[in-house]
Amino acid sequence: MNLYTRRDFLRSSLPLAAASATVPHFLSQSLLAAPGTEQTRSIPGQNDHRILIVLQLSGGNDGLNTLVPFEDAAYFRARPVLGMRKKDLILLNDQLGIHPALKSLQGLYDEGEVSWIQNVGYPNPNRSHFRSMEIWHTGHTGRRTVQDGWLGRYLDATCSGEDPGSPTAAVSLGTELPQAFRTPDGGSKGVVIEDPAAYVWEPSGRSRPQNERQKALLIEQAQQGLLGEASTPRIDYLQRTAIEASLSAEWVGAAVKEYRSGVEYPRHRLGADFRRVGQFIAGGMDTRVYYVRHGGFDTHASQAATHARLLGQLSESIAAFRKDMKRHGQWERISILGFSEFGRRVAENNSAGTDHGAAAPMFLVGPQIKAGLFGQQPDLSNLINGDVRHSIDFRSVYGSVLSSWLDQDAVKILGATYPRLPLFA
Amino acid sequence: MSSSSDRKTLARYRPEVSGPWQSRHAYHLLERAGFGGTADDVRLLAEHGMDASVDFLLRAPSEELLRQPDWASSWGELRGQAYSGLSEEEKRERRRTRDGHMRDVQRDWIQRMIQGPQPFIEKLALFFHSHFAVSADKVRDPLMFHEHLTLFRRQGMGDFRELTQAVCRDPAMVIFLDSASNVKGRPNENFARELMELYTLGEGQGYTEQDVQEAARALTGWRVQHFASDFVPSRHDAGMKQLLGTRGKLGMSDVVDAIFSRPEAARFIAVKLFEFYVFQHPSEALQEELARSFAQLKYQVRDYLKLLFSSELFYSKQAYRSQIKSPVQLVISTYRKLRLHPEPPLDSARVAMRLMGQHLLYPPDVDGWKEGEVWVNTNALMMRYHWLHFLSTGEVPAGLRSVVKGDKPESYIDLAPFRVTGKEQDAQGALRRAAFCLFGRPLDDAATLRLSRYLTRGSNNARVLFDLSKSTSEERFRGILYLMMSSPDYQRC
Repeated sequence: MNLYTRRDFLRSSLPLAAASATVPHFLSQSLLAAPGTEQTRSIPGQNDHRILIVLQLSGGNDGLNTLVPFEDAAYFRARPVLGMRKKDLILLNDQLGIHPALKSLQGLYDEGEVSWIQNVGYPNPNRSHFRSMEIWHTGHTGRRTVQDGWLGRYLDATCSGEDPGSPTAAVSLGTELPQAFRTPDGGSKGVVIEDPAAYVWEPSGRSRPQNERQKALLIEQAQQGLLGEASTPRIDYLQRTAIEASLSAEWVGAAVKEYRSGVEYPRHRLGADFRRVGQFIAGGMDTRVYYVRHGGFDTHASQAATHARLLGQLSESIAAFRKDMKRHGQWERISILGFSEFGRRVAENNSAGTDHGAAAPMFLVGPQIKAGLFGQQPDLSNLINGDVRHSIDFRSVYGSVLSSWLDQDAVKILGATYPRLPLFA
Repeated sequence: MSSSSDRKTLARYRPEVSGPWQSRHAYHLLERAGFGGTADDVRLLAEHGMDASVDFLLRAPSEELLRQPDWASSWGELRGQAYSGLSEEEKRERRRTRDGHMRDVQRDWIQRMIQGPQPFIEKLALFFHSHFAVSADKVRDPLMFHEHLTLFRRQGMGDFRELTQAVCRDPAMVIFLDSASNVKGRPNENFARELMELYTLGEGQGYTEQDVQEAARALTGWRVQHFASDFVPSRHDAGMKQLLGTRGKLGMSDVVDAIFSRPEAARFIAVKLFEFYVFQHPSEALQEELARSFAQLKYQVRDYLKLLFSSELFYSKQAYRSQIKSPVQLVISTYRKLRLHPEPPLDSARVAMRLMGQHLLYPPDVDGWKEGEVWVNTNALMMRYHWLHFLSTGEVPAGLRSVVKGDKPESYIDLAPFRVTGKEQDAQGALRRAAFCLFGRPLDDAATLRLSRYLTRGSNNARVLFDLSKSTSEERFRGILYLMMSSPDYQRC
């Protein structure tokens, strides 16, 4: 049974059932009597750790129209309709330009806070969204025996002994727990939060003491069960999720209350998600990994307008977030890693769209990263099944982020050694 | 429950060994075969015993169940009228009507699950809706969708091979898997691939890429015209094909027959039904036995489920309360157990399920809904809590404000079934009735004590009088029901 530490409960105003077979001995009565719930929430120095935000572009982002090789004749031959001209691009150098919708991101690039890592992928690329996403989440390309995720393994490595770590060490925005958060024991790390305002269990009583009692009962029954059933992995999972929901709801509520933003975030889903991440960070949550999704990149038809809109949303959301975090003095702690499950086919299709492809660029944003261009431009005369060949394995990027940004043993988490990239300053 | 869970056989339940078949067995059967029921429903089944209960639940669908909805004729007429000549405003109006009826299909189905006389049929339809996962995102005609579900109600209990034949020709499926673009000379493999991979054999089981390509040719020529399936000989590839060991000028029926000549076909669906109704991840040996039994029963779904519901294994520890309730199961079984009164708007159930992660008629992908842990994460749990709070207090959560309007009742939970007179009129008795209703079994002593303290405001004596006719008692008791339903225990069945 996976339970929480005294610290976790002390940080909340939630009660801790003491006399229970399922509560480990270190959660003893005397510790429960320890004073203070509020001051422990913001222990000085506790919340200065580094933060990674993983930004998933779901559906397969068209890398070639994100980072455009505008001097390559092969590019225009493959893309008579969708090809983008030099005059329309924001130029990075004499070969490459970025999509004009990424204007705000380019501002950060000029300030040395963006890097593009070109041609990232993996051997024997799979064109199924489902399978390719699984590969990116697990960090394993072989047989489908590994179902746990690279971030779950990272979070596992940061906890020690019986302490499962804070449930809010990882937060996924939206409604789903990413496979990347799954752990080798069949469980997972982290919580899922769609809307902080609706992230709470409401008591039903008519008086305050009655409601306090209800909240206490909620926690007690989550820890101990109602029916005296023997523990199973499934029962543990449900109990743990219920406890995590209660604990994290307390902290989320407190964090959101403390947050004030003078920054206007764009009014779309991604903008709202970044605003929430901003609330959580500025509000003092202990989260190390945030997972944010931006969907709609599966552009089989009439790609140009959709792609421009999506990239524009991406760019303006990050710009607003950065401004907000700078005002709160939090930006120095943050790195954003962007990826998609694959790029698109080099040749456009007959519907002014592109089909599923392979290698594509990743990007990193943040004040501590090493800005610039990594890797080589795609060689469009040397394709594999019409797709760009990868020259950097995505696990090289994961490994560099794990070791340089998150201070973890990348080999242990990835199960193999991949060439390190100098992605951080 | 039976402790003989390690016996991996479908042997018949033996009361002389495993104990009499009684209310908790009945409770388990009612929950799994359908969506649960009231304490009275459970008692009734327990009195009648296992065989009579299984036969009763699995009876053939009545004609009433297969009727067309009220709006079928008006919409049937309207959809046949030309669309292209309409003005923009008229087109919008037509689409509004159409989408409104799609919500009618959802509400009608929820209504049948909650109040219909044959919940087993609706649960089986839900299984097949997820198995042949057609989405209303692509199949936009509500009557076509209703008829798609009616097919599962009418034929779901019968021969799975015949059901598969029928689904192949079902207009909803023809549209959903792009059959219209599968024509002679330009085969589209979409349907052929899903037919083998997802509907009958399982990924990579007993077929090759070559089989998929040949099947695609054999399946050419089908399309939907005027909302009905239509076979066009000139679009069909009438040449020789060879697949799955069969050779000839094969067409659609031949492909399905060839598939069911493979042993993998019985296994795939037998295991999937077992996992939906009994427990997940059966052992290899058990899977073998399931496949053998299903084939011996000539693919008759009803006979197979009857075998399962009468087996030792179904009542074993491995199966009992081992499932995580899907949003549909949670919502519908709560309606049925508590017989909610006043009944909350059907739209609140429809939207609540969507918020919890299961949008009826809109399965997430061609593979349908996955079962198990994926149903519950912290956010999904909050959505479950909000809906349960709504039932308890009448307070409308943000997510339901667009569908619940008007006066708010004090609660949707009617306490009449929990009221008694005489000796049982104490906190302990009230808790026992609550637990029997929600779990089909009693609370443990520690939980009884905790909760009775809440009911009696701190008394350590659970035998203290608890009079449910007082309004303060009512409110406390509803609080207890709400708490119990917010427990991890209530998320399983």
